[in-house]
Order: sequence, then structure tokens, then C-alpha cells
Amino acid sequence: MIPPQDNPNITLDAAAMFHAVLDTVGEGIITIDSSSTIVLVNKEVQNIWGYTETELIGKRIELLMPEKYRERHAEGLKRYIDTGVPRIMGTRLELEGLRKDGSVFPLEIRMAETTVGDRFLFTAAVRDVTDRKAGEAALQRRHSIEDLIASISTKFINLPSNEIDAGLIDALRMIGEMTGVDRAWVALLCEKNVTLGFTHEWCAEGIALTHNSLQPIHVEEIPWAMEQFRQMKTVYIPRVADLPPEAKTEKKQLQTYDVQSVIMVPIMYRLALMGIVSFDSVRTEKIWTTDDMALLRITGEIFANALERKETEEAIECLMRRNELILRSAGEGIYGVDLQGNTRFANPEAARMLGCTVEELIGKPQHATLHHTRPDGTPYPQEDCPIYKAFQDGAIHHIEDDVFWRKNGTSFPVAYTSTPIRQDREIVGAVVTFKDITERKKEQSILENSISLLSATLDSTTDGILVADREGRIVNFNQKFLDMWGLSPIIETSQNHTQLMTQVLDQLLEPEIFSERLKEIYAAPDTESCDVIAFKDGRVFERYSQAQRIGGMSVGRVWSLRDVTARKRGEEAIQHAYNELEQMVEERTRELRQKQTQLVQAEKMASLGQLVAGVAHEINTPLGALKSNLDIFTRSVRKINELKLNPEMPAEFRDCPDLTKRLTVLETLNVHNQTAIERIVMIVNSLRKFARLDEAELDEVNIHEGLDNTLVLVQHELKNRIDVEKNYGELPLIKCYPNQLNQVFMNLLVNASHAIEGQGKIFIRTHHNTTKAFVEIQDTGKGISEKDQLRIFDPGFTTKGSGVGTGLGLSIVYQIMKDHNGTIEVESELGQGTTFRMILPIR
Amino acid sequence: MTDTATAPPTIVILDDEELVITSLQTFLDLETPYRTVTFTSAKLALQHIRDHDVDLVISDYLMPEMDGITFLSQVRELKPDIPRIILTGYADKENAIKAINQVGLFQYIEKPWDNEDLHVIVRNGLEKMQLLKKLQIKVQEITKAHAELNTLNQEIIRAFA
Repeated sequence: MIPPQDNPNITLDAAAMFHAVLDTVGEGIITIDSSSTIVLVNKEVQNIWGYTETELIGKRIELLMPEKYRERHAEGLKRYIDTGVPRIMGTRLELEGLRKDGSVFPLEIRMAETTVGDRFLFTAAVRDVTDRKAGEAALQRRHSIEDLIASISTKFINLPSNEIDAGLIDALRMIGEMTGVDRAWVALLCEKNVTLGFTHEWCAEGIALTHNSLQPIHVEEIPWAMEQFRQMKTVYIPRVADLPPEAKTEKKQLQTYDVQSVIMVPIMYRLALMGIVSFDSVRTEKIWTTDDMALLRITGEIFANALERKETEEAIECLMRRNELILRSAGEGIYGVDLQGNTRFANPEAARMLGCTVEELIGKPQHATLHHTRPDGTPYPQEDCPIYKAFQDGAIHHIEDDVFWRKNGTSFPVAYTSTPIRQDREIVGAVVTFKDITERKKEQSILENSISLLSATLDSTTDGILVADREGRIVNFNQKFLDMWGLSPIIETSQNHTQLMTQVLDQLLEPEIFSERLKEIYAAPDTESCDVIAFKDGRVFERYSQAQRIGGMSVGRVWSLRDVTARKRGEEAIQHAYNELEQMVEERTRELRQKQTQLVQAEKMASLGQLVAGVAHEINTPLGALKSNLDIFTRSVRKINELKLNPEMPAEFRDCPDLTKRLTVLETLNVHNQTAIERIVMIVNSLRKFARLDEAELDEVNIHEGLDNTLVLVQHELKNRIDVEKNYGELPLIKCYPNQLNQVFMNLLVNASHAIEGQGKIFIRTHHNTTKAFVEIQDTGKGISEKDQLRIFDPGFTTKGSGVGTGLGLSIVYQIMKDHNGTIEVESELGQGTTFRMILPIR
Repeated sequence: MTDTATAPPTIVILDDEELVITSLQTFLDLETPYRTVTFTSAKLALQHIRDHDVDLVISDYLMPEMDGITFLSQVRELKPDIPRIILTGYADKENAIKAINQVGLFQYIEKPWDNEDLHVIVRNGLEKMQLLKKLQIKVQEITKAHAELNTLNQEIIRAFA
């Protein structure tokens, strides 16, 4: 196109016509020169951009384009002028324009170039494509929503039921993002359609989740919305603020969450309302098209299907799990067989017993897998299999004794039941339950074993055994029983019972008591009995019986008879021997008692000895002081007497008669005291020597010393009444226990003094021969009667009357002499006196 | 050591019974020139022996605080040269003799004792002590002389060397 003013060949009319043409063209026409200056625009350009022609002519073309295109334009133009290579000429481009009011709009442009003289001119035909673009976008959006819904729908079909919840939220997100809402949520009717509970929610970024924290809404609170939902209507609220008064609860509820526009679609399943899905706009109000609403309704349907499927699948899964649990926990093996004879299912217990896995059983022919061979090893034809018979004849088959075969080729005894499975009256297979009866078999064999053991025991026992039931009928007996009573083996029937009893009673000494006792025992079936039966022929039986019990119930009675004749005789002999023994024991006891008395006495003497020794020691300390002091007295008196003779002393002192007299008295008393102390010293010495504690061991002892010490101690008994005449011969040292021997001397001397009434004499004589030493103590006392002489050495014998003697003295003397391997003899004549002679061995 | 020639010998007597102590002390004071120091407590007696010159010790055998053998063995540890005498009752004679042999006593005196015997035993003990002392002095003199001689010897050797 050539600008008219530059072409002289063109007339003004032509120019006017050219302008008219230009202005009638539906496109905007712009011409610029090589420096981008606008040289021509038509009316449409003014319409599109909002400038007048005068505002444009002479301006740069960049005025009409947004900033971002301006550089590109300048470069493109320069390159074209420099190189002449057309890059965009003739092609349709989609660009953007900048209106006078500052708005940017899409435009379509085609360009051409012309050369007028040496001027390059560029002309562009421009079309505003705003409306077309908007239509395209709407279409595009609708396609996307359709695609989205299709993809959601597909997705839900393939989604496992446990992922449906997550899928729903994901779908809410996709729709929400696509439609540009701020929040999308699902609420479902629950509690028998009384409440609406919020279950799924999605929020755009920057919007807080709300409904998860909400309490379920009572449907009665939102009657307006519910009514529409029940009629399966979509509730579309472009402006929440405009809600009618009857929807005030709904309005309040929505405003609480800043909802400005909302569209809520009912979720229907088989014409029943399940819940709603809602799309909230919080930030702006939103206009929904009818198309959108229709698509959202489809979404509601998809959700309904998904939710329904989820519910159903969960219910199915729960049921399956329960069945599985039953199968798993069953203690018996369970498997199912279809009409082809293949195993369709099996529980783990079945697999365990069959030594394989459940998978190894399923799909395999049952009979060939585990039931192929009979217990005896011969093949088991499938036609005979009772398991298959169940679905052939429709009856339940129960087999108590068969074998199943494990995977490893071994077998085990089983009991099983095959039950036909019916579905709509058609038999479709059979269920087999089976039990491993190895243990039961084992128990059976143990039982058989015990029974045979029992009968062997019965026959081998030495007792006669008879077993009768509660009514007294004979159940069992052993050979020994028959032998004992001399019976024939045919006593089993009740007719023979009377005959048997007669035969039995005939042999007894007291048949009436026997019968009586029998009645008593049968009257009390639970009791045990034990009695003795005497026979006419002298035999004696012990009869023992005990109830036979099964599970605490008495079912009969076991009789056991033992011939105890020999034992009874033995018992008599034992009784006799026992009596003799008892006599012996009595004698021994007497001896023991005697010995014990002596031991007690010896013990007494030992403690007495310790006491004496202790006393002697205690006395010695003050006695020592006393003796020493007396010595000092004696010396002092002597010294004073010497001083009195000293001529250098004053005469008053030397010749004082009172002093002289008192000194004389002191001298005399000192001598007496000396005697007294010496006597005390002697007594103490004798005491401790008598006790001879330091010589309790066997020792070589001078008998005479012992006699003398003892005499000192018994001095008080003798006093002036009795003369002691000692006539000691030569005696070697004698090996003995000195303290014990001293006790013998003491006892004999005391006895002698007791025997003498009034004045008298005691003679002590000693002598020895080559083997023995003799010690004689003779008194002139009243003597001992011949009768008493026999008993004087018995323990407890005394003639002294109570309180005087213990009667133990001479028995102890006797025992001590015996312990020394010595003896003691007595010679006595009444009225004349007594002599005791001790004889001790010399070694 | 103090001058042994002039001071009377000192005897320590230990007995839990005042009765015995009085007897022994009176006798020794009257009839001998010896000085006596008496104790009823073994601890105090040991203290005294440690701190003073003592020439002889007499101790009872049976005492509640410490028996005589233990006491005398401690005396020996303190001053081994002092002659030690024990006073025994009859009942414990055997044990006493055993102990005497173990502890190494000079003598034992049996209760009731004879003062004359006691005097002789004490005198002998003291004489022994005196002799020991003299011996010690002599030994010291000899040792000293020996040392001097040695020194002299050394000097002679050095002079001639």
C-alpha cells in the first residue's frame, strides 16, 4: 500500500476512496517507515488502541506495543533493512498491543513491505483477538475439567479400597486447583442420617483447614440446604451474603469460615443421599457456569461410587478376615475340594500336618496328593474315596480310621469328615476336616498294654484275686484264687454263685460271720475292708477288698486273699522270742541303772573335787597373809624382848611389868596361832590332795599318802571317839586313779565310823604279795548281818535310815574296784565289827 | 644408772589384794634393808618400772586386770635383767610352772608362803641382779679398754708404716 501523498499518479479521489476502503476493512491497518514512524492508520486502529489519527501519525510504532516487544521490533526491523531477508513478512503472528488506557490485549498481525522510491514502508494488518482468546480459554478449561473428571473417575476404579480416602482428598485438590477455589470438602451422613460429618478436606495454600476440627452438624439445623440436597439439587450460592432468611443457619455457618461463594453438590448413591461435596471460595466471590456445575455433579457421582465401593470392600474384607481367622485358628486340618477333585483352599493347620505349605495344596488333585494309598500300602482308587463320594451322593462321610500321606512320603493316622458344599442347592464341592489321631492310637495301644499287663499281674501274684461288679457278680479272677479255695474254673455264671458260696462257707470256721461281713461290705460300696478268715483245716487268710473306681464312681470291688498261715505261726514264735528278749532287756536295764548311779556319783565327786580345789586356792591367799603376819608378830616380839635386854634402853621400858606380861602373852598366843595356821594349811593340803584334780589320769600312786590325806578329812568324824591304828606294810606304787581310790577310802572310813557307836577302833593295814596289794580297814562296830552282807554292794541298799546314807556308797566302792581290775571282800560278825579288804593288782 | 653402792635395792610388788601387799611390804621393810614400791594395778606398776630403777619384781599370779605371767613378760620386755618372782596359789601351780618356763622367771613362791624362804629367794635374786650389774660394768670397762687398745694399736701401726 502506498501512502497517497507520495504517489503523484494517484488522484485525490482515489485517495479519498483509498481511505474509505481502509476504514471499512475489519482489520486495523498501520504503515510505518524504516525509522518506525507511523505514517498511516485506519479507523479500526483507532478503535482498537483508543487513539485518534492525529495522536498517532508521526509517532513511533513502539507506542502501540508493550515494553517487552519494543526491542525485538527494533532489532527485527534493522536486520531486515540490513540484510533484506524477510523473516516475518507475510506470516501471521500473534502478538500483544498496548492500548491508550494502558491495557494489554492479544492481537493477530500480518505484515508486508513496499518500497516507495528509496523509502522502505511496512504495512501491518492487525486484528484484536481478545474475544477469540477468551472463548478458547473457556473451552480449554472445560476440556481440562472433563479430562480431570475422567482421570479421577479412572483413578477411583483402580484404587484399592484402603487408598480411597487419600484418593478423595487428592481429587478434591485437583478439582480445587483446577477451578481456583480455596477449599473443597466432603461431608457424609452418619448416625442413621441424623448428622452430617466432615470426612475429607483440601485447602489451597494460605487457607486454614477447618472442617476436620468441626463437630458433625445435625441435619435438622440446616433444613434449607438439606431439603435441596434431598431433591438432588446442587446448591449454588454466588454470594453468601445474599442467602435468604430461611437459610440463616447455613449463612452463619458459612460466614464463620469466611466463605463468600460456595457450590455444594449432593453425593447420591442409588437415589439415596450419602453426603455432599462442597467447593468454597474464601478470597473472592466466584461465578460458576452451568457447565461447571454439571461437571461437579459428575464428581459427586464418582465420589458416591468410590465411597460405596470402599464400604462394600471393607465389609467383604472384614468377612474374609474372619473366615481366614477361623480357618487359621482351627485345631483341625480343613480344606475344600471342588467337583474336579482339586483342592481350592486349605488352612495352615492342614498344611502343617501334611508337611507342606498351603500353596502347595491349592489347585492340586486332593486324592492323588494325600490320599493315594491305603494304610496297608495298596493303591487307593479315586472311585472309592469317601471325600469325593460326599459330593456325589450329597451325604456327610465320616471316616474314623484312615491314613493321609505327607509330602515327604510318610503317613499318619487320621479321622476325617467330608461335608458337601451346596450353593443354591447345587453341590459345588466338599469341605474336609481331619485330625491326626497318632496320639489317640498310642493311647489305645497303651491301654491294651495295660490290660494285658494287668491280666499277667493277676496270674503271677501270690494273692488270690476276685473282681466283682456292684451287684456282686463275678467279673474276673485269677488261677491262684481257684487254687486257694479248691474251686473249678466254671464259677462265672450267676447260677453257679450259690454253689460257689456253699463251697466257700463249708471250708470256714465261722461261716456266719463271713456272710455277715460280706453283706456289710456290699452295703457300703466305697469302703475298703480288711479282715481275717480262719479255715477249718487251720489255714488263715487275710481278706482285703477295695472299691474299683472309674472317675470317682465305684463300679465294683476287688477282693484279694492272702494265705497268712505261715506268717501267723511265725508271729507266735516271734512273740515268744520277744518275751525272752524283754527279760534280758530288763536285766540289762538294771545293770545300766546301777552304772548310771555310779556315773552320777562320779560326776558329783568330780565337781566336788573342783569345788574343793577352788576353795583351797581361795583360802591360800588370806592364809598366806595370815601366816606371814604371824611370822612378823613373832619376829617383832622377839625384837622387843631383845630391846628390853639392851642396857642402853630406859629403865622404865626395860622393867615395865605390864609390858613384860603382855609380851609373854603375845609369845604364847603366837605359838597357838602358829599351830592353828599349820592345821589349816594341813587341812587345805589334804583337801586338794584328796581331790587330786591334777592327777585325774591313771597314775603310779603311793596308797599310804592317799590313806593319810583321807584320814585328815574324816578327822571330824572320828574326833576323840575312835582311835585309828595304822599298820602300813611295804607297798609298791600302784597304778590307779588316785582321786577315785581316795573316795573308796573315804567311804569305808566314814562307814566304819558310823558303824561304831560310842568309843571304838579302826585298824588300817596294808601289805602285798607278788601280784596283789591288800588294804584292809577294820572297825569294832556293830557288824553286818549275813543276809545284808549279800546286798551291801547293791545300789540303793542302806540300813542307816533315811537322811543319813544315800545307799550308794558301797555300790560305788564296788564299781571303782571293778574299774581298777580289783575286788573288794567283806568279813563281818554282828556285834564284833567288820573288815573290808581291797585287793588291787600290782603291775 | 644411779649409784648402786649406796642406794638400797628397790623391789616392786604387784598384787590385787591389799592384804598380801601389806604383809609382804611390812616384812621386807622390817626385816630387810630393801625399799618396796607396791601396786594393785599392773599398768601403773609397768609405768613405774619403766621410769625408775628397779632391782626385783614380785607379782601375784591370778589378778583380774592382767595375769602375773603376762605382766612379768612385759616387765622382761622393758628391762630383761630384773629378776622376776611370781606368787601362786595351789590350783594353778601346774599352769604357773609352764608359764614360768616360758617367760623365764627367777623363782615362784607358793601360797601360803614362808617369810624366811621368801627372804632367801629375794636376797638371791637381788644378788643376781647386783652381779649382773657389776658384770655389765666390767664388760663396759673391758670394751672401753679394748677400744682404746685398738686405737693405740692403729696408731702404732701407722707410726711404723
